[in-house]
Amino acid sequence: MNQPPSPESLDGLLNALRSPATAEELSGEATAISDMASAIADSSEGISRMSPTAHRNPLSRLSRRVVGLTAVGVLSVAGVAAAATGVFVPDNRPKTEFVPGSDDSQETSVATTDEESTETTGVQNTTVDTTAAGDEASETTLASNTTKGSDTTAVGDTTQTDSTIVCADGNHGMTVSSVAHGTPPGPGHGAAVSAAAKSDCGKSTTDSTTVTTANTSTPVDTTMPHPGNKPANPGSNGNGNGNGNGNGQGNGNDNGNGNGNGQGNGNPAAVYKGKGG
Amino acid sequence: MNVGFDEWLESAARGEPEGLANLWRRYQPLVLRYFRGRLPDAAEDLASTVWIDVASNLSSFRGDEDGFRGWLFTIAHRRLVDEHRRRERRPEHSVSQPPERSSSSDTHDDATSLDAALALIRRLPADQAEAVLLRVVADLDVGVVAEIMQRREGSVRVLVHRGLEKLSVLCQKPVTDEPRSTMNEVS
Repeated sequence: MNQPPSPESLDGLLNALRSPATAEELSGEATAISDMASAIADSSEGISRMSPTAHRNPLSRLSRRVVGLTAVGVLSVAGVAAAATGVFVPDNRPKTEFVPGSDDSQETSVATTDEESTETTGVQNTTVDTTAAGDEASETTLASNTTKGSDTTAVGDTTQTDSTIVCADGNHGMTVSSVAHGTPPGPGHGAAVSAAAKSDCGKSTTDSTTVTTANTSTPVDTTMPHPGNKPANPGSNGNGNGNGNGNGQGNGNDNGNGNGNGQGNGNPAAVYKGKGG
Repeated sequence: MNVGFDEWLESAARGEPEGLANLWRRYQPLVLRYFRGRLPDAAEDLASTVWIDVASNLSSFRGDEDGFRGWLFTIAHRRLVDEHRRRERRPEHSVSQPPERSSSSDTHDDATSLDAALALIRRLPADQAEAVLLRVVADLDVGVVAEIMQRREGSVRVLVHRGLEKLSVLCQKPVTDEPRSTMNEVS
């Protein structure tokens, strides 16, 4: 093949590139024009054939329906599945109601939620029984029934099934504090703290190991190991009970509230030496 | 604004042969040279494809003559990229053969000069050849070339500068027409 001569300079090359059209480059005009005209005709026919409604995507309405039905189906299945797996459970927080204890009753129901518990709903039974057996009893029994049916011990030991409130070495507030610290967080924590706060443990005693009943409120002058000896104040006992109950019932698992109020309102004059102490 | 061109454009958009012929005669040589500077064996087919695309979408075009030229070579560039990709998938088309030319007596010198110039451009790297062709043959602004090549304007200027420098060197050497940028991917 004969090679074309090289342009002598860059200007010559650029002039060649910009040179007028040659006859060869313009050949085939008729064919090109007819092809273009037919292409324009095809495009215009394609547009004119489309009706005004056809300009809309014919699949858009169907696709919207499909998407809507799919969404409804997915939501339905998801809802049924969620309900079956128990995702939607009713509020299982213990509803407490305050039942004032009778004076002649040895057993006082402090906080009671539903009497019956069912496994499916997970509603818990929380019954706190405070038993004070007069002078002979030196401990307060606290029964906290949870859904698992296990009883917890209020003082320090969390593994006992029958919980007993042992008066701590100190006043009523320290007893409540020890119960709050000793009870593991859970559904029965608040009830246990409440029961301890309601108990008369440490409020008034004649002996360091004595826990009075709920009816007994006779303060006995005792020694106080803490700084600032003060005589026993019956009024302080009343305040301590009230605050303890309120926090325990209202806050449930809140340890901090129960401890703080119990210590703050407790009677510093009373010295309690329970079994645990 | 070129009033005559606007009339051509409107006439061509209506499908009138006269308007189409005017457009074709004005730009067909440029489109053909653009393709011959890259893929000489497929230049005719690619140019025909470009004109079909132009005719099909001419009713939607809005702009003046410069805008039309930019639009036209944007379509041409895309067809070239498509052809490169098609050849990469089918390597048997990798060897390009220059088309047979029948030179008439009066245009012999111009044709040979043009063929020689396009042969030199094909020896450039693909991006430099593309930039030189769009700037020199298509007579597009740097900004339009940058949009077509999807590069920055500075990059296009560098490509054109280096391409022309290399062409000036190649002008001093005898042409051994072995297309270098035939199968290089256009950026």
